[in-house]
Amino acid sequence: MKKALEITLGILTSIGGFLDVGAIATAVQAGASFKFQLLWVVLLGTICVIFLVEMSGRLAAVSRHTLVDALRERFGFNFYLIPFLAELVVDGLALAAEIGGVCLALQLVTGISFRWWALPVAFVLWLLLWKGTFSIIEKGTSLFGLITLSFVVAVFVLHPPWNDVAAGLVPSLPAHDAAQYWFIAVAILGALISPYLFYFYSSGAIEDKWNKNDLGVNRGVAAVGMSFGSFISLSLLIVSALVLFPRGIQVDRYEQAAMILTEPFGYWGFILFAASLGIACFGAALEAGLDQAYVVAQTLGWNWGENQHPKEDARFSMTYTVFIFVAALLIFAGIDPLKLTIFTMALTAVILPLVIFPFLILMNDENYLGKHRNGIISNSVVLIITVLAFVMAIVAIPLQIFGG
Amino acid sequence: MDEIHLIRDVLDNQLVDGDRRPMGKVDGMVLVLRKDKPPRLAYLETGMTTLAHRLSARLGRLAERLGRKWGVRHGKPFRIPWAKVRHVGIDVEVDLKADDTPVMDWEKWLKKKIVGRIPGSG
Repeated sequence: MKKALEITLGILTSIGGFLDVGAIATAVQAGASFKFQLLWVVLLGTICVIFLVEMSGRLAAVSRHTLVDALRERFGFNFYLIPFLAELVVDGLALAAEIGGVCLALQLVTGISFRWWALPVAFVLWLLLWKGTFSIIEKGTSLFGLITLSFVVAVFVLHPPWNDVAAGLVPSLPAHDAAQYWFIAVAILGALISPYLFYFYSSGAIEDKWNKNDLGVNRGVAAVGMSFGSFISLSLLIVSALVLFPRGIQVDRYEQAAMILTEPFGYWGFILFAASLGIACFGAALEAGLDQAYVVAQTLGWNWGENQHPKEDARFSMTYTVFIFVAALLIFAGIDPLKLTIFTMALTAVILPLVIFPFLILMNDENYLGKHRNGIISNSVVLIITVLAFVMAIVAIPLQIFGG
Repeated sequence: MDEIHLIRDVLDNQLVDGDRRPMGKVDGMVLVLRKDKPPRLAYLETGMTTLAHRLSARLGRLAERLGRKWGVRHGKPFRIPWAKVRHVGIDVEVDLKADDTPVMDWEKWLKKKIVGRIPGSG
């Protein structure tokens, strides 16, 4: 009974935690520019993230190490420094992008420029981390995150041509704008396979004191939760394809993206979109900010934990404080959140091998996982998708930049 | 007899004190040379300076200089005698109290000067 509750909670968390500024921006752009043709990429990214999240939970449950602890220990500080710095940069940019997403949602509703929202949003974020506990953050994020289910409802209101949708789940080559097609594909993968997700997940598993008995729950949460989350991403792409593609609107501002729910729901659709964007990004910003502090504290062996008062882990608390306000300053300085998001997601795809190859080696190490180490399926799936994302990234990003 | 592999099981592992409170990582290990005797593992080191020295000598010197100027520990790594090591497992447990050692200096400084002055810090 307790297990069932845990799985349900875990799944709720994943639904709420899955969508973030990157997933929203890339899905809307994909649908607007290529109709259903990029659906398969969302599917591919989801498969990879299911395996990665399951792996990081399993590592924590079996070896009692967070991913960071294990990586530094296994590879030594000098090598570990590379994935560490890569993760800090990408996670920091992602944090800024998520804050930007919240600010844009507020701009949509109030008309006041996103820049003026950056510091107030950062303050509320910080306050929640300062005063809240891990479970409040986890449950709050998931509960409010359920509003993003409105994208799923919208799909059914709009009656898509299901045959065309199904066809989009099969990989195909673009008929036009090949460079942009692959660039968006890369950004989708970078958005779904965000390293902060599995660093965060393994830290949560340690905070919740998981052990080998939790392996079943871990597998269930990873598979079902991430699939549900991806279901919302797929829905978002479909709605965007149905509303924006026929009008030839290529999304370069969020005002255009906000239209996607006005067709099925009228005026309230606009509000729903803004609320979904704001809440999803706020939840993701909480996770990304906390993740920065986890990664730094675990790398240097400080006392850490979101369940303690800031006074009991002063260095940990100061770390997220500094990162949140620096990220907010980027948005306050006027960096376009949509451009920042797409750039960050593409960059994530480039650095993915740096983070994931060492992770895979670790997952095959008997010293850490004993008989629970990776099998051939987990290894091949993660390896193939990561290499694919990397190759696509180094080909598509220069094409996109130099091709205009 | 159980064996320990220093690089695999000790270096870069989590250090905890007798109450299992985290006190940094094992950033370095120091052997001392003795006349007419084999070298002996004498200390574990923890601290930014040790880490910087591992990356390069120049970075190490830079870290020392910065530490002397602004560090609360004056740029010196903290050394734990090997004889204080009680257990090597997932963590390296040493027979000390974290709060009584300089490894918590930054933590205490931040707590006193900044975190403690912000409302709601507990």
